[in-house]
Amino acid sequence: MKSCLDVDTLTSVGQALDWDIARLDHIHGCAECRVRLEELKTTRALLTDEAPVRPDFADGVMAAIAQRTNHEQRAKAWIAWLNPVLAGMTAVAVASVARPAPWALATSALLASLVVGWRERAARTSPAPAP
Amino acid sequence: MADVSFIMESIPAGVSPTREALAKFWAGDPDTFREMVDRYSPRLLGVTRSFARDLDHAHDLLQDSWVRAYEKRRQFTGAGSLLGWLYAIARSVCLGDARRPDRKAPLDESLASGDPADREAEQTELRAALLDAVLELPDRERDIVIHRLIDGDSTRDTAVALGCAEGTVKAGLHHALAKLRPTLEVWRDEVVSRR
Repeated sequence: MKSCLDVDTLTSVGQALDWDIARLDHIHGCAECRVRLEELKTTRALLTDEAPVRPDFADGVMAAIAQRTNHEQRAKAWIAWLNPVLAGMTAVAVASVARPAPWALATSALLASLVVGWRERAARTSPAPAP
Repeated sequence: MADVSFIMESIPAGVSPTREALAKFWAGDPDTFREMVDRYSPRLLGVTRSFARDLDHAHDLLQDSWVRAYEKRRQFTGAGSLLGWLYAIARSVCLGDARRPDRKAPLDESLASGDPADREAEQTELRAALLDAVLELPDRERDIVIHRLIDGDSTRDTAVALGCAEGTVKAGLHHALAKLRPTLEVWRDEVVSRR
């Protein structure tokens, strides 16, 4: 069965070959070129393969991202608390060794660290400015 | 908002998605990110499906890929193709999943028998190997393959999009195909043996 190409397709082919139409004969007769063409076709087919995605898929992705972002913010908030608390505990240890009114010093250091932690947490969890 | 000026400068004008959309993606704009999810998911599902047990698993891998893309979005410099970058992330997620100890390995079982369902599984495995070879190409060569073979861009448009010379595009495609050849030959032999 004859399956001639339409003029538009022929134009595309001609342009692709820089109008050196004789090269078509080469492709027709050259086994190596035909294999290369087949390789390109296979690679293209593989990479352009698409599959229908579930209708609610994007909603699920955005929900998962929101969940992950919230989780990370909570983790950062805890870390923000941890540093000052560790600093306070260190202060208690130092104060107890140094002796001059150790419990007063320790309590002050601990309170100060909690205040710093609270301020850091508040700064981290406040909403970011709109783009 | 994060400073996006550097990425705006690194993305050539006239590319698709637009420079502005890519900058918003980089900055984490939810609406833009969702547009990218809608736009690229069908193609990326083609990747994850090759590595997955079934369609549900493929969707799970795809979702993990998008979450990772969001987390790593600032590593996308705009120098290459966004689709290529997303392909690489999906591949990394799929390979990570394949390394899990509870992951099933259908190919080993399929080779032992010869029924059509097992041959289908075997073909899926071969397809994954070929896809893997494409995604393993150096970034520049992978991006050239994507622009030339998937997007159908001309040599000149590809060169403009990737910020390189037309000769680099031609050489890159040549080298990419040479690297894919061993896997493609296995693929071809497999197809021929079934005829």
